[in-house]
Amino acid sequence: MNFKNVWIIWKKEVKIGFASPTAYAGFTVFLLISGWLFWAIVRYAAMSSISPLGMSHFDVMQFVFRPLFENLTLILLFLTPFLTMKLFSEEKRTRTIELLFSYPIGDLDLLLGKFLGAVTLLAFILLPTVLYPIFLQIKHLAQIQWPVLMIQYLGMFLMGGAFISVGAWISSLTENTAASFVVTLGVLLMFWMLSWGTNRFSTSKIARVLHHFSLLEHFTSFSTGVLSLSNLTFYLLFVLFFLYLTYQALQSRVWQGAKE
Amino acid sequence: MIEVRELTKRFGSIQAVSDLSFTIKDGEILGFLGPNGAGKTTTMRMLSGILPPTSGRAIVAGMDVIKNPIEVKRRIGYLPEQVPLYPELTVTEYLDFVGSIWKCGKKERDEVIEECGLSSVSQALIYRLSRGYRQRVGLAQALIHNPDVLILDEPTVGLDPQQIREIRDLIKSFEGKKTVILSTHILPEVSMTCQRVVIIHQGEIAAEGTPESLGKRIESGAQFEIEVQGPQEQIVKVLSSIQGVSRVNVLSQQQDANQKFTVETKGEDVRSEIAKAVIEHEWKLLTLKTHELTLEEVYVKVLTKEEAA
Repeated sequence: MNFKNVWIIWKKEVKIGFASPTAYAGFTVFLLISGWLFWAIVRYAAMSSISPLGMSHFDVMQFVFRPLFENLTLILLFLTPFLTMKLFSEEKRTRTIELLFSYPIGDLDLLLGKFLGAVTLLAFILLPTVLYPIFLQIKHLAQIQWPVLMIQYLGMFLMGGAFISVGAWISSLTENTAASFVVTLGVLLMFWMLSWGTNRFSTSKIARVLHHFSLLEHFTSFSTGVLSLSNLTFYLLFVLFFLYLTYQALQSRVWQGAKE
Repeated sequence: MIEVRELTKRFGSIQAVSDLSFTIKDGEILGFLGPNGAGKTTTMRMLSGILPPTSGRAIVAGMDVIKNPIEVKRRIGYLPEQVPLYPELTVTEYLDFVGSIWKCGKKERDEVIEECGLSSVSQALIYRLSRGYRQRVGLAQALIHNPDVLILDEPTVGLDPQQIREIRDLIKSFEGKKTVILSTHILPEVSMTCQRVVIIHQGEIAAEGTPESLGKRIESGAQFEIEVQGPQEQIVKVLSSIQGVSRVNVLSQQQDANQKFTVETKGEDVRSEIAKAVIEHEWKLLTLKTHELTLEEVYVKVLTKEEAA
């Protein structure tokens, strides 16, 4: 691995990301939906709040930011395939990947550069949500617990990273960006819904195992503001696993028909 | 500089390239000729280290492409067939990206922009460039790190005649400085730019040599072109009676005008006999020359031979 090459690929990815409408479209859509969600949640929380002292004595982290982040990850689930569908598919379709292979860049450098590039675009899209807690703080509407917020953001990033790693893998399998989008969305939804109809006390062993692979399940601790090492490890392993699959898909040109 | 030894590539049951062996000397421009699907692109991809061969070796600058991929790639500039570029970037941004991979600075970038005639469009988005300019950007990315070896896959396809000439001139200027391997299915291109030709057909070498020597090797007999003023029928009769002549073809349709013929022999040079016969009959001899096969004819002959075999 060569960090300079990772940096070069990252720079190219980000440059192209911002030169094309993808990043801005994602930014706008996410800003719109998250803004609406934030307003709706705050309104609902304020109305249902029984505290006579108003919102400042009310746990905004649990009653505003927790549902906000849990809903936003679902929005993110729908947005990520847009960010990742072109990651490798487009380079395969236009054959630019062939030129990348002809340069002295290892597959791992390429993969990491692209993954981090997509994560950067994701960070850009998430950026405006920082305004919501700042707004509440400035207006003295609520007491923001910043450490809890950091953990919630960390969870959201891990979730986003997990989404991107799945998208990167699927994108590396096809030249067709539309197929890449649909399949990524489908797979992500499956991972999301694995916790439905299963739970950790299921009598069936398979159901218990499947339950553990649900992305949603591992997010709950982060959204409640608890930094759980096992959930953190789950996300990191999840990302590593799919990056490994992507790496193998890139390498497949080497072993496909190389020796028979 | 480049040595290809028994290079073979199979995709499943399809044999794309089989047992290809040839060498290219330093500073030589080699034409890689063949119909579509002959295995040209597959061979070039193997040479540039993108695709590993099923068996055999490709050695560039003394190093095995598979064993030292990074070192070999540093010495190669590769231009794939469809000139893949990032349409969202400007020419300068794109070349900066490629340059940074090769650790080249602004100086190299500006030089290559100048060399490939891109100065006027350096700030334009690649998306807006014409086919000819994109081809030049493709060449620029292959040249930016000043490689010893250039692998160009159909560099002039889809260009207008003026652009083709410019690209050819650029390639020709590398003669003696860089080792170039250039694939094409356009025949005049090879005779104009290349010192040596390898004709590949169905993944195998069908013929190899200089454009001229290939013509001689394929020729099974000799052919002469004659232009005479005189009566057609009589001329044919007289020419046919010359010892060694196996066939006389009449090329012109009109009577009484200048008559054009080709005379075929089994290899004997009958030019002086033809001249004598024509003058004896008091006809006017306007042209008399040996007919050299064009690369086009060689190509067709090689391929039809292959199919007949």
